[in-house]
Amino acid sequence: MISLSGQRGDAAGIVRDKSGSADSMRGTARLKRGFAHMLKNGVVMDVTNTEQARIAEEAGAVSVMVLDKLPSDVRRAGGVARTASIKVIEEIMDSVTIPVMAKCRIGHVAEARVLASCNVDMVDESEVLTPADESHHIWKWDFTTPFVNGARSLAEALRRIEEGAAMIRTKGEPGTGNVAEAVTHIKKLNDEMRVIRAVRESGDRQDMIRLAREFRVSYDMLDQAAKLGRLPVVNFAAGGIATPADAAYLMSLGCDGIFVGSGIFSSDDAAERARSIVMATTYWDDPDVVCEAQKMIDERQSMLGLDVKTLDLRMQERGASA
Amino acid sequence: MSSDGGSNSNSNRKGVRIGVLSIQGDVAENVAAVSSALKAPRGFEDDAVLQVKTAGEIARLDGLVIPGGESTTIGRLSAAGGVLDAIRERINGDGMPVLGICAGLIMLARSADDRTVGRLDGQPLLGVLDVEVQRNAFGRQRQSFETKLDIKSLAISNFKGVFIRAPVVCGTGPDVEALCELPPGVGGGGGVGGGDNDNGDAATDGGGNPRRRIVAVRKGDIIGTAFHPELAGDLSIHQHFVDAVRRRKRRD
Repeated sequence: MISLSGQRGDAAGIVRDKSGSADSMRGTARLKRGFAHMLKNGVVMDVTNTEQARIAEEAGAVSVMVLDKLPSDVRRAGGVARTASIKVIEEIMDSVTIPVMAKCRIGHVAEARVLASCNVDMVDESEVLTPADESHHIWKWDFTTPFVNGARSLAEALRRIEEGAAMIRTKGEPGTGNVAEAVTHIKKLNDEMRVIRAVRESGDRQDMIRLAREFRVSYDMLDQAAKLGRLPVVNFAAGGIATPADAAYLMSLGCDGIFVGSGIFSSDDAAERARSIVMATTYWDDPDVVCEAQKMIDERQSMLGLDVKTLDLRMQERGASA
Repeated sequence: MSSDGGSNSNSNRKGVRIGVLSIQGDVAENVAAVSSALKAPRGFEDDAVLQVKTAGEIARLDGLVIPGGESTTIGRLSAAGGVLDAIRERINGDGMPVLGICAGLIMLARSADDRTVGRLDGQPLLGVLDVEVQRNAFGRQRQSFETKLDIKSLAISNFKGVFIRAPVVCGTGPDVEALCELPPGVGGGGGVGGGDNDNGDAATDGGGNPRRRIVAVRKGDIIGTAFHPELAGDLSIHQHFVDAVRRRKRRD
């Protein structure tokens, strides 16, 4: 069904509405994680204006993520990257029917509150923006709006879930058009998951608590994840995905869906590329369809991309130690 | 795949083949719910739950679940592959039972509009259920809610209704039965006329009467829910659907 491991019944983000005889609740873990479940096998696309948002919706995106600049442009521009203009977010919310997400800086509680108040469907506490707090992430249980967080290891993912993240994505290396880091992160997460499952199965509780201390998460969180055999929330791939084959590869590694950042709207064939990545995400296990999707794009129009070994700024390291 | 595909072997089967449309959305949760429902109280050895996403796979099913997800994504991708036509043919031609959940309910509908954006002419729908659906009727994710529901004609009570950016049925044709309506006030009074923003209080029709907010409908073996029974931790609705598929299979 849906895993509620690690949920907090006392979360401040849960709102109880009473009307006559009937009660209803908002902001529960079931509703926040459930929202992410509805995005599964889909593609979330980074957009900077309504025109791009409409192209994304038309192409079959399950959601759009509003940014001020695409990650590749953030990388080029340098300086401080902050949340997008509220006016642009509102314009996009009024022009598409699919859910709209927006990014806030890591640890920036007030920026997150602004986004929740303007009613975005999900907030991404993102390393693409300049972190506001190097040592703390937002305590996300305080919000009725669900959050997605990046992670590059199982420990990081579980720490974010314990803080209330309703969805996880790999960090990858944003704005590079290079899928290598996203692949590394999902494989690391899968490997570590195999380890905690094996340790739990062995019944060695002493070793479980050693792992919990190493991961800096509670014993219960680790135990529940090990028992489940996967993260208790939906896990998407993100960071450097630029082609249909990239998307299909990450789906084959067990990701629940795909975020595409700069890959679509930094290319010269955005509409076709958006459609082709959606197709490859749905039919990732059918090589003929992925081939057909790959035919829709022209490699000469892909974003040039960057080798991650030569980068001055490694966004994935932001917030990783917290 | 080829060995059990013929119609001869089909008539010898005791069990049922139920598909979950696996284009996009919460497929795994519905596969789990249908599998459990097939076993209760006890099933047949050749009962099967299949993830389906091609027209050929649709043709071999006894029943289909269209899961929650984004209706625009599911609609566009299934229209492109001819899957939409295949499903419509099976429902209209063979009376294949179908359960449409949230996005699935929208897919079944004759017409849909959006609370904020308004009319949606380009969105591909099945149009097998004579209902008008309003998408995102309660607003955005922050307005998503859980509430207890009673569905009297299915003898289901105290069911956990999980509404996630849910649609609502605001009008039904004469052959469609409204199984469940939200009491006034629940869900912030949403599910009102299109166009205007989050002004949920104006939940009235032209005559000042509260608008109907129907969240479960049925026409024969076509069932649609605006909420997510696969997330409820309660199999009653999936059980009801599995029973309908079994009854239909025995009749054929």
